Amino acid sequence: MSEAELIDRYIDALKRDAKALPPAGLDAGTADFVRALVLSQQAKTPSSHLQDRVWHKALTQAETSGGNFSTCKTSSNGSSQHVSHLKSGERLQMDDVRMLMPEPTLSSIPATRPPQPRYLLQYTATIAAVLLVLVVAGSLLIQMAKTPSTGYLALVEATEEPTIEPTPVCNGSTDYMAQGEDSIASGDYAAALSAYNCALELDSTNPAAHLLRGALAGANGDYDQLGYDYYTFIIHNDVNVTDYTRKPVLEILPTLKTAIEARPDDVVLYQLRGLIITSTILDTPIDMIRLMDIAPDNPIGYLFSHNWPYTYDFSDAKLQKAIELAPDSALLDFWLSRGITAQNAAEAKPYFDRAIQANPTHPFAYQARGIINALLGDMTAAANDFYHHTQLSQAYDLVQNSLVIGERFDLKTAVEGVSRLPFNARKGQSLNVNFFYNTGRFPPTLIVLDPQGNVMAVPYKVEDTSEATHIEQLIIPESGVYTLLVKSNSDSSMTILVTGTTK
Amino acid sequence: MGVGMIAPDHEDHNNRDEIRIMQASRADLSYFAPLYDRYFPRIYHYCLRRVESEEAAEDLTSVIFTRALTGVQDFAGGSVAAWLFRIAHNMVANHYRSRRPSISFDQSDFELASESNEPIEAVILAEQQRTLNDLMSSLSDEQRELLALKIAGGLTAEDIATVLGKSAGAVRVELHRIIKRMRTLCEERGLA
Repeated sequence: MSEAELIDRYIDALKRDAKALPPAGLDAGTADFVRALVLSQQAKTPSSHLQDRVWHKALTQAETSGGNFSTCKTSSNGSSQHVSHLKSGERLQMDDVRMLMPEPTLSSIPATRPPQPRYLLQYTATIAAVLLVLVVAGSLLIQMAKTPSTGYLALVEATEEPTIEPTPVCNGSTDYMAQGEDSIASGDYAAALSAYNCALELDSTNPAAHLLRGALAGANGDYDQLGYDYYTFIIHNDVNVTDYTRKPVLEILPTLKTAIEARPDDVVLYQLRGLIITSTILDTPIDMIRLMDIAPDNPIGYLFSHNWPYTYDFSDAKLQKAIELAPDSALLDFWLSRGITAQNAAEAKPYFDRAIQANPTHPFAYQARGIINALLGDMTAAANDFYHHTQLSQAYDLVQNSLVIGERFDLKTAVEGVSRLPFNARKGQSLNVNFFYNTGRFPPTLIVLDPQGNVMAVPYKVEDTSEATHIEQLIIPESGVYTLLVKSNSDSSMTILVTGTTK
Repeated sequence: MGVGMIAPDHEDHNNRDEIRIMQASRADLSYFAPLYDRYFPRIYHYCLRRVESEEAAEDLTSVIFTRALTGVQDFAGGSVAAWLFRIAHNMVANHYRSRRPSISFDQSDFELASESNEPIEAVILAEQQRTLNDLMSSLSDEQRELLALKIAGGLTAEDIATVLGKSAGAVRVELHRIIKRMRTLCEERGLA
């Protein structure tokens, strides 16, 4: 490597880390000079005030020049909500839009599940609970479909299985998935729906058929069917990600793209593609956002794009709209999603209440509300919810652990402070540690020490730029007094919840 | 957010993200905000190095981002960093054409971001900085531009090549030449 390349490489390294070592082969004198030069050119970090001021100036000038700020239509004063947000300094973050992908392709599928946006980290426990809700709801519905008179139904009153269109005569030798795709391509959605019904008759767990049938049913206004098929797909998608579920679903994307080019005003096509994108590669719901514009009375667009962009106002407004458009739908996600976006536990609780009211047999809705009740300090109600959750889950043999409440800490932290929180744990318990902010902004670092003071667990980290947020499924090797270390990065007050499950 | 440089092994990934944001920004400029957050410090520092005052750097930075916001439709792919700095480079050139500046690199606007709290070290670093800034004033405008893109802007040689319309190899050779020249001048002054 030439000296010119070595110098170039060393400057790049110094820009990342002022203490970077020079590359091998670069003489010490030159390296010292390069380092001094780079350091001499460093300026102080511009203030956020300056950054905001320049942004507002640029934004205003761009608006004057006729920039395109088309947005969701939720602003009460008719102005662009995005712009009003941006002008108040609440800009979207890079992490929030990391997965932007207006025109999805197979080659751009991320290898791993994309990181959660920072905004959602504040609701880690509820998010985890609702993710579990999705999984369990899918299982629950599958179980109901398979064994309608046994198991869980013996304990609780079951909800009705969603109505499915009468199945046409199905020939076992026919490729109904291909038929469905061809029908979508030609715009014959009734035929496509029949084809997917046939595909499911042959294989009731065919996840691609569930998702596509659900999307078509949703397009007909049958949101309960959509919910049933969507949850069924999700559970398979989580269990067997690549070969069984994603691929058959994603293979239809080129057909959808061609169809959209041919029929750009066809709402069903956007709904189909949007559902595929949001449920498989978890990418930006561009189609759902578009759906809000071209089909403003369809709740699906609002519902499935409510977490993007990840800001409270946007998410809340979209979910409110979805609920308003389909107030009687049993699509549980309406209510659970609304609970997630609530700003605090008190605000979230009514939505989980309503979720349970909509489907009182839903085990993880109880768990989610149990966490909320614990956060609100009503440990009796929390225990009751956790009991229901345990009973309902065990009835399904899905979760064989019983949840026990461990400890709840209300903590005020100072900058660079470390708090030690002792708690009792029993051998074999599986511990989860979550935190919720009351005030403050930056997540703390959570570390669990065993009774001997050894580090047992460091937190799950979303990515380098994010802070640690929670600890999951830490198996306790022996009974004793364990310690949770909370290292804060700013003045904050928060609630930390240590919960444990035991077999 | 932490800005800094982008590690080479993350460059492709980051640029893919950035291209997606650019695509989304075509429909709604609000989506441009994360790119602004990422690039503002680099563009601002670059401007600080190229114009006469903090006020001028602020104005120029806002003009650059205005141009970027109104020009997202023109982005034709490739490096977003190079695209943005190409705009910045042109805006600086326009600024020069409209108002020939008297750049004074020894002004205290460029506060050293020193990690040291030791007064004696701070004095040494400040002196070193003054000397190097003085040496920079002996460089040609093109050479100062290249250094500003490289060090203040934090661009790769490939991105600088795109901005300046040269090859990456030529950029590295020129950078090498500048370093050697400045080091020689330092030695002549007994400062190396």
